[in-house]
Amino acid sequence: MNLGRWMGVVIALVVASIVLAYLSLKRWTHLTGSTMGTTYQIHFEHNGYVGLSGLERDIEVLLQSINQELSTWNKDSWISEFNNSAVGVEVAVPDHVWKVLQCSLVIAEASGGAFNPASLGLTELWGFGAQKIEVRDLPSLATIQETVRQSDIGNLSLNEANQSLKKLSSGLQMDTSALTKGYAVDQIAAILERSDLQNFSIEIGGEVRVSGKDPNDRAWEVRLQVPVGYPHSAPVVVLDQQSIATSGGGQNYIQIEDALYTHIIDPRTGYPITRDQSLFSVSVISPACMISDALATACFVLGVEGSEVLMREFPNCEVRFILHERTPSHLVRNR
Amino acid sequence: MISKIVNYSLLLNFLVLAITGTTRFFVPFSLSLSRLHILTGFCLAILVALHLKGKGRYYLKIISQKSEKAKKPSSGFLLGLTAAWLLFWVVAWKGWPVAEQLINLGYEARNRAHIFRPSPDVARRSEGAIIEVAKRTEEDTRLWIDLEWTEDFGDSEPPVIAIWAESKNGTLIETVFLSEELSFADEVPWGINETNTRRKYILPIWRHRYSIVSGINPDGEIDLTSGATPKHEFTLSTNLQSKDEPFTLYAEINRSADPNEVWEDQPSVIYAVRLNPTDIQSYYLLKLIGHAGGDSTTDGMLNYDLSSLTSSKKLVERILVKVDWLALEKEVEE
Repeated sequence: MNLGRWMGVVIALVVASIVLAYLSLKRWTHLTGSTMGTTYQIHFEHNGYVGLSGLERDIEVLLQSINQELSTWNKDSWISEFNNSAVGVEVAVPDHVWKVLQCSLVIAEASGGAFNPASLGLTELWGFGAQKIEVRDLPSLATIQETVRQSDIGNLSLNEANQSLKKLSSGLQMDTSALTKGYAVDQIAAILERSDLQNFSIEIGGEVRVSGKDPNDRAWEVRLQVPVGYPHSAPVVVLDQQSIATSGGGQNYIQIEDALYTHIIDPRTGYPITRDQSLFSVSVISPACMISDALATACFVLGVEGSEVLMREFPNCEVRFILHERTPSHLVRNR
Repeated sequence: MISKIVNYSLLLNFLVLAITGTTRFFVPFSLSLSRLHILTGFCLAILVALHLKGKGRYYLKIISQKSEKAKKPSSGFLLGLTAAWLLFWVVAWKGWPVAEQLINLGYEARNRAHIFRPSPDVARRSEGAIIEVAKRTEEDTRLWIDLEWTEDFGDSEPPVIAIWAESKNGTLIETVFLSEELSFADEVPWGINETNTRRKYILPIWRHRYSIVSGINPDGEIDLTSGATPKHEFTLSTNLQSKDEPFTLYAEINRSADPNEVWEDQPSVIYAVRLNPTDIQSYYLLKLIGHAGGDSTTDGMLNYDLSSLTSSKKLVERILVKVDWLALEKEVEE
């Protein structure tokens, strides 16, 4: 081989080495968007070999399939069709729904009914559902009690053998929105982990899951939202391979006479938690975001003392409360 | 002589094309660089055509059956080479593995969180002292914004501007306009000395609000918050097609190198107006409501005391908004 050819080979090898070295460098990608009526952010560290468009497509397909199965705001979703199905008709349950339902039933039993995935009837009664009924007066006691009776979780019959479900009462309406975002976060985490990504954070509508380190090579820190006029700085939690989900009244409430009713309804009584109660929000930290999401809702319904009892069933979880009171008030349980 | 001119020109244009193409890959979008690259590409195409014309007989000999002395590549070889190039172009066009990884090394892929591109349903036009923005929904155009400066800035750079909508709880819905100078990087040349300056110092209010879209706060950090789920979508189309969702339109404006007695460089000024679907009117004027000096770069909060500002309050003649509420009324009735 003459000198010219050797030079060509050397140059090609040098260029290839530079490109390969550059591909091996780690960098961060940030994805944001809207899903489930709210926003999401996904941040992950990767090298240049990762196929980003494939990853984005997988995440997009996942979110669409979860919405297609579990969105009560979509008339064509599986859950909407199930809610409109006849009593006693056995319906095959798709995988996302099945997994969410299994978790819901565990939390429902542990919380003594403070969490109920079959309480869409109550949500619609108070005007917080997809039908957007305008509620100006308190519903009658009889209506509330009847809706509570129809929403009893015992009216849902599962067939584990063939993954199917049937309604035993016409008024039973499923709604898993209290933990669907947490479930979606966990599924996205699974996609990232399958691509060997170790350092990432995922947030959908305030439900967060992290892994590894942040871009500054530190443990991930998550701020908790505080009420307007809160006299202290927002609490910050440090997470290590964990998730956090928060339940609270936020901006979603209605006013009837002088009372402000949040969108979180106690399935046992049929009444929403009111905003004049001292509890602003509940955050639960656990390894899985779906569990954090469901427990946060249950704890918000149960309040501080009731949550103590519930959380004994989940020793690897931690709960934090933020109160409207002026004294420092974030209490930590189970740690 | 002509062939020497063509060959020399080919070499020069090829070098420029290679340099601008590679540079374009690694730096923020630049209209000048793209223009140079495209026009050089046209010239190269013409020069290649001239080169082929001049060497036509030679190449014909190469592929001609009658030539015995010329080293003629076989048909199979030519076919294989063509297929290889076709495969390369398909891989490049489709962004398949290898092509995707290489393109992801470029500036745009690495800095997508900082690059702003308006939604495809937003049209914009600038002419003289006027900027026009129009936002379409699925049905038709619903929102028009006319901004008129107090002067035609001509060759000197006009002020930079961001126009965005916020929901009733103060969350950014959509940025409908951002000056091109600020659209492709978080740090841009700014001020008398054209120093690289972060957007949070140029348009602090908008940059703070934009964090929810980019996922990165103005300091370049990821900001994770856990709280009650906010109901939100990143498109103004929802508000323009709904009777229940009022929104506020903001415009933040800043002119480079604009000192006065109080400020070394006067801060950005903010105009705003609230639009409610139940309003009877269709026309609105944005009003000057504050500025983004002092701590605004840190906390993203407005300052309402405008007394220290002078020329920066006089940049804008008017910002007029028209919303097609009547069309919305008809749709709701239907």
